[in-house]
Amino acid sequence: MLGNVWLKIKVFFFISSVLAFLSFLFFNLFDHLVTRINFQQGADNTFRYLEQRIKNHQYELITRSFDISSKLKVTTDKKTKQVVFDTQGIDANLLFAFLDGNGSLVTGSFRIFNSMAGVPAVDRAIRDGVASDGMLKTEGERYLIGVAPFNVDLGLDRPKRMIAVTLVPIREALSGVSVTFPAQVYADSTLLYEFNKESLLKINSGERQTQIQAAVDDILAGNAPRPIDRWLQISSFSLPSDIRSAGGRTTFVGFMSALPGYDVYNKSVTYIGLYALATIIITLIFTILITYDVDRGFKRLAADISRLRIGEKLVLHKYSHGAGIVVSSLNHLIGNYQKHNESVGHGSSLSALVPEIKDEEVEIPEPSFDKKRDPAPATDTSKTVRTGGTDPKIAQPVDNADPYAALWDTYRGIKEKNGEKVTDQEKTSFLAKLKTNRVSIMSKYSCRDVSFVIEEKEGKPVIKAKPVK
Amino acid sequence: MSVKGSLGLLSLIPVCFPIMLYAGKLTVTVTYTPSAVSREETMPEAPIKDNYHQISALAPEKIWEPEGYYAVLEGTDKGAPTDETAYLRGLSVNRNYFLLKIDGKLLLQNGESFAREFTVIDDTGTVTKEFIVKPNTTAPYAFMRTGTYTFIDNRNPTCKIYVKVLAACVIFPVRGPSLRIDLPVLDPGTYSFKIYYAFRQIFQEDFSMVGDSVQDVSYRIADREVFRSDSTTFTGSRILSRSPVSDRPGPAGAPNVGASQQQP
Repeated sequence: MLGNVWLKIKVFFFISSVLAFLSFLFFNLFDHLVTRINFQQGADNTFRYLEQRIKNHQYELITRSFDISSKLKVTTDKKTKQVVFDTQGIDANLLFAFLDGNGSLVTGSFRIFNSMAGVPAVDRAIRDGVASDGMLKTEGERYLIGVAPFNVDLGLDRPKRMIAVTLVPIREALSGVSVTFPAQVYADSTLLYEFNKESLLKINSGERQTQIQAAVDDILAGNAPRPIDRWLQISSFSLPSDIRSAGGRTTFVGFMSALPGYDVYNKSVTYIGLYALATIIITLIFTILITYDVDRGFKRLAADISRLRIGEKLVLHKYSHGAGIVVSSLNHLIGNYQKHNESVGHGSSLSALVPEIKDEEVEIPEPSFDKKRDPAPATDTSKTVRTGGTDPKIAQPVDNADPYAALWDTYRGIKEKNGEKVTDQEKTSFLAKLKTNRVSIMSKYSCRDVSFVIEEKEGKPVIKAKPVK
Repeated sequence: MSVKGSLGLLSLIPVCFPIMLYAGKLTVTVTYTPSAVSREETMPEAPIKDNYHQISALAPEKIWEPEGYYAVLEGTDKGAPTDETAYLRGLSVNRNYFLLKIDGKLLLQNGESFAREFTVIDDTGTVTKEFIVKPNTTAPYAFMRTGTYTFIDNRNPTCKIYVKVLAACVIFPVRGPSLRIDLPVLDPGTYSFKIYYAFRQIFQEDFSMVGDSVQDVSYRIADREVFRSDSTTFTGSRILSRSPVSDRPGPAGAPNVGASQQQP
């Protein structure tokens, strides 16, 4: 498990690099898409909707003022001249006030003011006889108001002018509205209402809290909104107002975040840490899986090499992950060694094993049908039988009809002589092996043909190939 | 006491009581008939745009003059300053313009159940004071220097109070249909009699008091114009009018400057 450390490190580094690169590409793609979303459009539409909502509410308040004025019952005692205003016919849940012609409170459920003179909508009713709407601010509340003037008959020489006022807190008017993003409503610099407060808390926490608050303060001071960063933008809209109006300036502030909640600094760090940890674990698993297979293959190869006897060769396709090349090279080395050993005897140097192309003889490994054989003592007195090559001009085959058949006969003869069974399947494999090796040797040595000979070595048939120029 | 001694005492009288001997008497009567003003005159600098809907419901009623008249006699500093009261009601005040003599007080009477916060700015734009009028209380504000002061309601910018503080004069607010001013002891000298509507001077007459003269004049105010409707009575000495008196004062507008004159 812990062997081959450098290989493991290399694989780990490679996979980590690939994953990091892919993560980088993914992040850039995501960032690219997110920053191209037009946040502003959605906010503008929503703010227009809110404005219309307030307009409709104010219009409704005017009609409600007319309505309550019609329900007010005024009676005058002829003797005492005392005037009684009866408001029992008016919905008790309504917030309303009846004022006299100077704006002083006569009766009503809204009793914060003794006089509403100075409220622009009331002044318009007093001065111009106009029903209108507007806003009104008190210590802790902002109201939408609707004002309607009307005349009452007090039994005097002419009717007396009165004014009906209905009110509703802005927060109440907005409570039924659904907004898809976090937003705040301010009257001047006083926070009146918040939409999607939970989402807003997620956005308005962490290290950007100061930036966001500064941007909101900037908007409330009358400046244009500015983006916090590419992922979070602030949008604002102010209702048409006059600084001299009684309601102050009503401002909607929207927070358009591409990643609501995820952009909190602490959470971002956590998510990045988790992502990195997951990447490391995945990379480790893949590293172990890959190197384990390689390790196993080479361990098997090493075990086979350690059990290898003189004259034996390794099975070519038995090993995976590139070990086949090593096997082929080893077999080649063994063949050269054997050949050199035969010609110059033992003790020859390694360089002597390297054949020249002219005299090249390549020993072909036994076909893969090689199976376990009984151990036999190594001997150098093996009988060598040259049965001819594939080139008719060079080789002198026993059977002119098929040079490979002659080789097979020799091969089979050696085996049978040594008491081994030969099957038909073995012949097919033998012939295929010869043909394959012929092609590969021709391409390797750039020769015209290849001549094969079968020799007996330690009671085993050994195939040797020689390039023909 | 001998005759000689009596004559000696009599000769001391003018020395000890010169005013008694040479002061004149002035009696001024001002009658005032409230008149209507146009809607534009009562509106702020520009219409307030805080609403979306305006529906005409009733015919507009007459709007009576919201500000007060003042009779001002310049040339004498006699008499204690008269205090004025501004009634804070709703988000506004009953009047916006007040004339006060130096050391006079403006009493701000808050009739609401919430406090009113004011910032006071003098005519150079400097904030002189910020103060709060508590709910249902009256707060006095004394003026120690001449000039024009502006009281701005911090929460309701529509509510502004302007105060002009004058010196070397006597100010008589015209608070009813008739105002009678009796000045039994007025030193010989030159005086100016002015009538203001808010800060707007709509009439001026300059005159001189000579010796122990007695003058009784009457003025009539209507539609922000002043008409002289009296007959001058001379008793003992003589009174000299420095300029022709016009009984046809100019229309409300820029103040008359200098001698009594007719506005073009």
